[in-house]
Amino acid sequence: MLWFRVPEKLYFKKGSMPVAFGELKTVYNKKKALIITSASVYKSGRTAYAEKLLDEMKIQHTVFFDLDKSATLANVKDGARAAQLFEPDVIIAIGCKKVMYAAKLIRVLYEHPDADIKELSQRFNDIRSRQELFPETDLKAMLVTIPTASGTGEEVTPYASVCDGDNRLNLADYELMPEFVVVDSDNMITQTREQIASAAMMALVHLISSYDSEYATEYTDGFVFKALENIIDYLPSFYENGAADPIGCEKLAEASAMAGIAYANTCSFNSCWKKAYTTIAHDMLSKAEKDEKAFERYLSCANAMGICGSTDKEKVETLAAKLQELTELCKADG
Amino acid sequence: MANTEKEVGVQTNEGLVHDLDSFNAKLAQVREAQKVFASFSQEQVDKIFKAAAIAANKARIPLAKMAVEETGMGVAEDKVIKNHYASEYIYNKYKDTKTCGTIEYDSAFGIRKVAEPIGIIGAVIPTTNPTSTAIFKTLICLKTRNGIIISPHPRAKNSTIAAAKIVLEAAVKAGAPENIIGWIDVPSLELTNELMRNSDTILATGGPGMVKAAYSSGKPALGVGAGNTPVIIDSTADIKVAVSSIIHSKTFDNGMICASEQSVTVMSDIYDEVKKEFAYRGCYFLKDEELEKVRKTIIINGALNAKIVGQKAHTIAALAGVEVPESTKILIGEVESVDISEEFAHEKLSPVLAMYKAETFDEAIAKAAQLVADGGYGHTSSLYIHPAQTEKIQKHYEAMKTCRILINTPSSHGGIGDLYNFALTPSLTLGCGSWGGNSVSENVGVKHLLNIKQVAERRENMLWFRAPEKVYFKKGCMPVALDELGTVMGKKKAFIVTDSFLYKNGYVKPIEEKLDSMGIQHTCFYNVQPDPTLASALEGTQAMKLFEPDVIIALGGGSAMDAGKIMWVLYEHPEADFMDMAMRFMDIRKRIYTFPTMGEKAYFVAIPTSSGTGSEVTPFAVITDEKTSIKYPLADYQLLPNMAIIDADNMMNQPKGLTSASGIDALTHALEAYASIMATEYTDGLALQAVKSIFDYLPSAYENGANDPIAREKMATASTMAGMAFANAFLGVCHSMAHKLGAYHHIPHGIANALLITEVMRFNAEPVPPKMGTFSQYPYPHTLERYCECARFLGICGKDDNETFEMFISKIEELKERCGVKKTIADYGVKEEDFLASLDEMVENAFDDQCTGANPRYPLFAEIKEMYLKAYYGK
Repeated sequence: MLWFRVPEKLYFKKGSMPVAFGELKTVYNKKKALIITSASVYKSGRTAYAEKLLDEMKIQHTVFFDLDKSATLANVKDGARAAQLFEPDVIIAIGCKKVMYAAKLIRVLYEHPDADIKELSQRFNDIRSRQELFPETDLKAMLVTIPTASGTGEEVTPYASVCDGDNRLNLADYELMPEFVVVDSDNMITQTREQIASAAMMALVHLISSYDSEYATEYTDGFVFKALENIIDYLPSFYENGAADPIGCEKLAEASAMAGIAYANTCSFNSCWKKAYTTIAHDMLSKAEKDEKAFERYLSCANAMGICGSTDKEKVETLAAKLQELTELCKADG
Repeated sequence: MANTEKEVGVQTNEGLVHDLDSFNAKLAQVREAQKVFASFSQEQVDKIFKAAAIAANKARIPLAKMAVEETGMGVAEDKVIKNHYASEYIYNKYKDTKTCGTIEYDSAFGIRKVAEPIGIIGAVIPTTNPTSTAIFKTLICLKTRNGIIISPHPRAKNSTIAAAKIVLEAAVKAGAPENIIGWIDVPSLELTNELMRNSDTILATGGPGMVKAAYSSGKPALGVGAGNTPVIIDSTADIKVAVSSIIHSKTFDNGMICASEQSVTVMSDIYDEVKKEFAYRGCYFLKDEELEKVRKTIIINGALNAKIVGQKAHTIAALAGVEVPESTKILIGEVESVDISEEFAHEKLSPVLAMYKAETFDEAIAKAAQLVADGGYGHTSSLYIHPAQTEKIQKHYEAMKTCRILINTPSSHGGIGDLYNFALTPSLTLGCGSWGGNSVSENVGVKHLLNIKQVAERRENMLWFRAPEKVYFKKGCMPVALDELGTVMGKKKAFIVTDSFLYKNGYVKPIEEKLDSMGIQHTCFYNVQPDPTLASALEGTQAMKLFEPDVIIALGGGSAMDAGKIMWVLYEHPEADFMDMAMRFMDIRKRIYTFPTMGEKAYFVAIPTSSGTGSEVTPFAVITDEKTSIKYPLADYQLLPNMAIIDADNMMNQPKGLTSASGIDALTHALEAYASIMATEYTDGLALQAVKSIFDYLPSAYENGANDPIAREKMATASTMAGMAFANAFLGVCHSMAHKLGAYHHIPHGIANALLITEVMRFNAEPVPPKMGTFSQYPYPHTLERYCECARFLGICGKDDNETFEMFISKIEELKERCGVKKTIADYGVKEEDFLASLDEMVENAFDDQCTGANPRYPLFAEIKEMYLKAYYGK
């Protein structure tokens, strides 16, 4: 049995945040929001807009932003304590990957104070093993995710990962999935060139991993194709022009969320950590050479990108070359 | 001597505005100055505003004295307060207000507000508050980069002009253009009218006559009128506070503020006490004949006697021939009538007050309402009461047709704002709303002297991608997926909805077995007909109510799933009205009707047995009221199933006709969702994948049926993906027309779509349509390119878009033919005469179908008709 799962509500488009936020009041009648973010996003003032919107709706709020460079288990425990004291009915994660990870786990600990993240990570690091039940979430607080980087796509995934000393704890279960996602490229427009490059490469890794995954389905393939198309068509300009290219920014924002959807549904969480973007094109070609099935898959992908060529082999090579171009472009900054 | 006088007279008029010519010259000067001023920056303006306010403030005492000397009215010390207020409070209020250029920008919504000056303000200034009003109006004009020309009251012209001059000199010194403030030196009715005709907006403070003249001039006017402020002292009031507040306010500048109290209505149980307190605090109650004498003095021939305006109580009493102590603060007349025929019921602009007795609070309110009607519509009213009496306070504010309602507040000071309440805007020009014949109802300020441009950037609607929480698929997945109902969710009672064919042929059995094995009690309703009726839905709902399931499992094609959704709604919300739920909307997020929240009683599982409708993942359901034959198409994300289980094992034995009709239906879903004005990248990927699978696998699924399980499975997935695409991007006019073809001529839905889709594609592909669809995301007619994207995804490549499109159309025709779809509507046995007879009605109903809104080309009636005809005759 396979599955396709996405957050209950996924809202997108530049400028969508205030409209989407309205639902917190009109649809859900929320009273208390805990915003989780990183110190750098908090200092940049990007959470201030969310706070303003919450104020206008008379939703009480507080911000937790004490996350280390890589979010740690200690951070998560601190955040959960803050949540237990404040008792929010909605948790709003605004930020990059680590913020999403931390928020997902803070909610687990907030709703299940006795849960042991370390132990859960040992039992729930592979979403395919569905023997045991992860503690149920969305009991006290809805989880809203708002990405500020156009790459990780973690706003739509059931994955989380934090450091515990030298160990990394990986978790994967649909109970970790947010219920409400707002992809508003206004939150991503100020990304630096370095951030754009590394985020886009992250999305590219997700895409190729998903496409290569034995759990790839026609559903996830559709998302892969559209996301890849956006990255190929818009990354060079967004990378070059940054904030001066709001359209490119939006296309990358959607690409990363679509990549996230693909990666969330192909069990490719762990493999992602291993794949380096620099060798994507090379890996693709060598795989295509060895494995006819892989060749066919890449050919479909090339067709989906509208790539023309006199032979099928040429099409796949063109696809690989295009990816190579992108990775070269981002290498300096990635 | 006479000669000298004459010379002085000539000199006096030289360079002064005293006639039409000199007025026009002044007008031109101010206009010229204002043009320059209009380009000043906020910084320059703020500097000028500050300097002018400081200068006016410094001159507050000489200006006050001058006003009293010139007009012979009011109290110099109180006028000092007014001047002080007009400079300091107005400056404080507006010092940080943005009045130049962009004053607001919201980047998320893309809206910018830009402030521009109006031009020349024609300011009419009364004799009652000459210097303070001049200071106020000139300051707010400077802050807003407007020019101003003042028409002073003849009896107060020198002090009015002196105040304006002080402000002008300070402003010019701080950088303002010369002549930005002008005035009429020798006021006359003619020049005042000329000013009104030639200014860009009139700021008229004065009596009703002046205000009316302003509004009649043909120029926009901010005028205010007379007040007749009634006061009620409730039994719960603090009497000492009430009485002293009223005295303080009523004696302020000898009662010349238009918001000043004119009458007091006192509740009978405290009347004597209130009276005693007034007397103790220095007010004089007029006795029998004294009352009559004062009556005849304050109002003469129905009009206010100008001689009493702004005079002391003692002076007025003397005028009436009544002896009162020199120190008397207010003359109070105890009267009964609130009718306009009672002199005391009028506005008196002097320390003369009417006093009424009321037995009940309602009576007091009725009296106050009449006094407002007597001559104070829209102005001010006040109430003294214990603050906890919220019900009475509400009763009062609901009854008063006044724009300022002051609670426990001296009304002269309270009405002008910022003294006894710090959110009421400080102003010396108080709007009286439509009740007072005014264009504004609040205290006039800088915002009324600006033109605000709104620069609206194009923005796109927020869009969404929504799918059932859980979508499970793969051949054989059903029991695994159902397992969650027991192990994860702990469900106890399942209600299965299906049709009798499926039930009889054992399709329900595996579900029942699985439920049994988990100890979940279950029952089955299998009386669902094709095109499910309200009657059968109600029957199912009745069974549901008795059984009280916590999970509903709909098994079948579109009909069973739709019927299941409807029963779900009726089970959870028996009060829901179909008419409301089926109301057409332009934007699902702005629809008028709020759909009830679903899922509170039961979890909804949808299991399709045909590969076509996609209903397992859509927020749509259609139900027919068999009595009226009206179809209710419902659309709301509340109707989205919670779990969809797509198991090709349930679809293996679909008959050929069903395979082809539902397969083409799914193709139409994908094509319409891809061409929809609401298509997004999220739906595009799904739509393209679906189109491709259908082309690759529908022929074999049709020809080989269960012998090609892979094709069956691919079609199952394709149909669900197409469902997800149109669940979010919606459909188009092909579906609108197919719905009506089905309703009028009973052509199966999938076949109806098949008969129309290529006609509709040609229609939509037109690069120069008479009308395109309206949606912020839809930039220009680009549907030809969109169809070509689909074509290329299938590997169809022509030398240009037109050829690619034609190749794509042929490929669709080929697919239809291979799947046994006939060419025309006529081929399906619809008689020509029947078809033509129903045509106009079908056209109109198709046009109004919910699906039409998302079509990329906005169809005209004639165009729909033409498509129907082509599809009928095949040419």
